[in-house]
Order: sequence, then C-alpha cells, then structure tokens
Amino acid sequence: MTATVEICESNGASQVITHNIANSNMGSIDSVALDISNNPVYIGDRTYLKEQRIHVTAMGGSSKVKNLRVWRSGALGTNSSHLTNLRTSAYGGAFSYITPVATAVTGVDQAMPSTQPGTANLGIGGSLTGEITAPGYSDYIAHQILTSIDDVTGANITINYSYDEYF
Amino acid sequence: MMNTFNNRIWSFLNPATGKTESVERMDYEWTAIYKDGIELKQFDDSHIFHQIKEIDLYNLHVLRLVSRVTEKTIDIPWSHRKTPIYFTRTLGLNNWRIKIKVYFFGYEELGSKHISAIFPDGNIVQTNDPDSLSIEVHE
Repeated sequence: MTATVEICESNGASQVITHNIANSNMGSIDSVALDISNNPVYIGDRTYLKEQRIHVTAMGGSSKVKNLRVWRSGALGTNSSHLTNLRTSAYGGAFSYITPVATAVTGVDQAMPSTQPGTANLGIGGSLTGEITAPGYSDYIAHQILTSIDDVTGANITINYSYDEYF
Repeated sequence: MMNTFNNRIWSFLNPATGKTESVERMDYEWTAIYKDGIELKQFDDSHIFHQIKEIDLYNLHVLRLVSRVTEKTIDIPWSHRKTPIYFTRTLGLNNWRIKIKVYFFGYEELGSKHISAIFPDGNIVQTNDPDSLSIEVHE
C-alpha cells in the first residue's frame, strides 16, 4: 500500500464532487453512477459530459505521483465516437470545469484511446509532465459519447487508469 | 511492555508536507548496503519508512531489492556514476475495480537506463524504456 488514489466525478453547476465513484455510466442526465436503463441516450445524440479526476488522498510515503494515463476497453456502438480532452501531445492545459452538457464541448474533440497510451495523456496542473507531491487532484478527464443513428444496441465499455509512483 | 506498533504500518515524516504519513509494507522493498556493512532499509526495524533519496549514494556498496513473498533479491553493485531508479506503475482497470502494480528497479548510468520490471506474477523483464512495456491483464 502506497499512495491512496481514487477517481472522483464532478456534477452540476456547483461542481458537486463524488469521491471514489462506482462507475462511469454515461447517459441522458448529469448524474454520477447513473442508471443507464432509465437514462438512455437517443441514437444520434450525445451523452452528458463526464468530468472526472484522479485524486490522491494520501501520499503514503510516495514522493510523487505522475505519468497519468487513461484509456477505454470495449467496443463502441456502430459509428459512435468516444470524445475526450485527453491527448499525449499538444496538451491544451487543464480542462476548466463546466456544468455538464449534452452538446459538443470545446476541447473535447480527441478520440479516447482504446489501448494504453505510450505516454501520459492526462495532465497535472495543466502539464503532462506535472507531478502530485501532496494530496490533490489531476486535471479533469472530460469525455462524452457521440452516438450514431447506426448504433441501435449501445455499448458496454470500461475506463482504465495508470499512474507512476516514486518513493 | 506492550508493542504499540501495528506490524503492517511504518511511519514517514514527509519533508514536502511536514506531516507524518502511515505507510504499509510493499511486496518488493529496497535495502541499501553501505561499504562499511551498515544497511538502510526502506522499511527499517524501527518502523520508520525511508525514501530512496535518503540513501548516501557516495558510500553505497550494493542496492538490493527484496521480495517479501519469495525473498528473491536483485542486487545492483554500486558505482558513483549510477543514480537509482525505483518506482511502481499502478493500473486501475475495469473502472478502477482491478488494480495491479508493476515494480521498476534499476539505475541510470551515463545516460543509459538499466531497469528490471517486476510483474505481479514474479516475471521479470529487463528494459531501458518502461513506457515501451505492454502490460496486459486477462480477466
């Protein structure tokens, strides 16, 4: 056991933070761990934006946490897109929180990787080479699904994370 | 006298924060063996945790990584041109439900990295580029 790390999600205009989220279910409302059966997305629509962060709650002897990577497992529905602000180069700085919307969001225009990126794609303090040296947060992972009229079955995907820890 | 130490918890005064942190034992831990035979353990016998930057590299003879499970060791004979490399990579898969940790232990010398990547199954891969390793998990 070393640093204590969790995934947090922010929702609403007041940026309510839910710690240690159960899942990243995406749908037609702005809610953490939403019920996808009751909140499906109509084909051709976008899901509400998810804004999540990696949160180090205790350093546990670590000197730094860095090299954050996020990627997806599982296939999307036909012709659907999983869009994000994450990128391994030309990182545009930290994504600034907005009230989640189900429309296109500036800066959330990269394809979410479907394999582990070779280098960091999530920043700390606005930089891909940033470091967490005391309990704190990463930049936001902003992502949403743009469905297609060809996607009539939906998709079951999961999000994966990776970080390096120095002692 | 009662032992007030929790046998799994070591303490660490973090110079960056000025706060004392609790640290649990790790699967692989380093020991610095100095030229005079004295040892500095990452988790010492007084229940104090040490960061690798506390090692007196000038007087270091061998840097050792020990598995707490198998007691296997990796020894690095030291020279003044080397700088230690020791970190872990944690993968939180399937929405953070599955967590695995890979240990990286080695050194850099004259711009060249020599690193052992130690996987959860005990498999060890030599690399000079930890980012080039593909870590796959089959559920």
